[in-house]
Amino acid sequence: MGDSGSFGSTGGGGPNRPSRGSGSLTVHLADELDVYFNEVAHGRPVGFVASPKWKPRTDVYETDQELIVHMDIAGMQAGDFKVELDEGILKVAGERVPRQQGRRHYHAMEVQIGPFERRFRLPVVVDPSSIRATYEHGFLEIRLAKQPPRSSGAQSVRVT
Amino acid sequence: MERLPVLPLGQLVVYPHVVLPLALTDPKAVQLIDEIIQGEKRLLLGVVKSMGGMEPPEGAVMNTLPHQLYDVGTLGTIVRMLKLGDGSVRVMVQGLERARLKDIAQGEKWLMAEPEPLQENLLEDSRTEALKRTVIAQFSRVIDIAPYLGAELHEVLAGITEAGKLADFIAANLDLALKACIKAAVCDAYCSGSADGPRSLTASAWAVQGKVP
Repeated sequence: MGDSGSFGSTGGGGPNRPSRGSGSLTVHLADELDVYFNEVAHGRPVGFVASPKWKPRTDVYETDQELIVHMDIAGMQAGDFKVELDEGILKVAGERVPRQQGRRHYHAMEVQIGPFERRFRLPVVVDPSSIRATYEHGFLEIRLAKQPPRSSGAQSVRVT
Repeated sequence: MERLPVLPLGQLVVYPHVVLPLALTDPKAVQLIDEIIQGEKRLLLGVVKSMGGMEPPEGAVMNTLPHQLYDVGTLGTIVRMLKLGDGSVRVMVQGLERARLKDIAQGEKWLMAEPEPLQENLLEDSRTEALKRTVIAQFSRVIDIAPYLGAELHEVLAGITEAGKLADFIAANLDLALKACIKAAVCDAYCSGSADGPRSLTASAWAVQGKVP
């Protein structure tokens, strides 16, 4: 499960430079970037992002009956999302546009805008027709009904 | 395509797809960042040439003249920015794609150029496949023996399937001299579509070989 082509990494440096790797910088860049906001880290790669589209943070979890995808994506309208399920891969895409007006003087800038996309290979078999998506309080929630796993018992096949 | 500000960088190549932090202290560079985060947050990351045997200083070199930049740079975006009390900024930039700095000229405040995206050589034949396997195997060894590379890079390496991205990833993580960086960074621009295949991967292959004992 997870995005195809989205990954973070630690990166290079020189033989005399301190190690950059904390060993945990593998999932979401934003989590660990604070560590690298210092002069020592200037110019050293801290991530490798295959897609120019950014990736909202997302929980994926199961209940007894459902698989639920819960995305943290404020500042949108329900109609702004494109949600597709195809061949067991759930794709959520859209674009967050800036809401501010006039010239701003930034002291910090962390809120990502622009096109985003996430793809998830679903970890369980679901009923595609059951897919429901709602957007409320800055969270997109997608619910899918789980289907019981197919029988793996012995089957006889008639040769024709 | 609209003209974008150029941030000239000394001793540093920002490869496509790579995210890295920059510490900017030059007031003009800080002003440039202030300007671009008002809008689309995009800029061109240029590389300053060595002139007269002198290597350029590290960081943003805001007094660079157009002819002192390589004509291929990287279209990039500002992912995060933090302004410090001393007026300097820390930015996290992400390389998006290679671009020629077309019609570069001094603007009112800094260099401006039109980004001309350079097509990656997408043809991947059996020779490319062989080169990919070679560089993956060799770079895996580099990760194992180089104390400055984290073991988690193995996982990232395994997830890259395209030759061009593989070349960028490896080049960004090797401690290459600036000339080698430039070769790896701009080779595609000159060799794209040639019968010789993706040269950037070849450049990475020899760069990796130089690192493996």
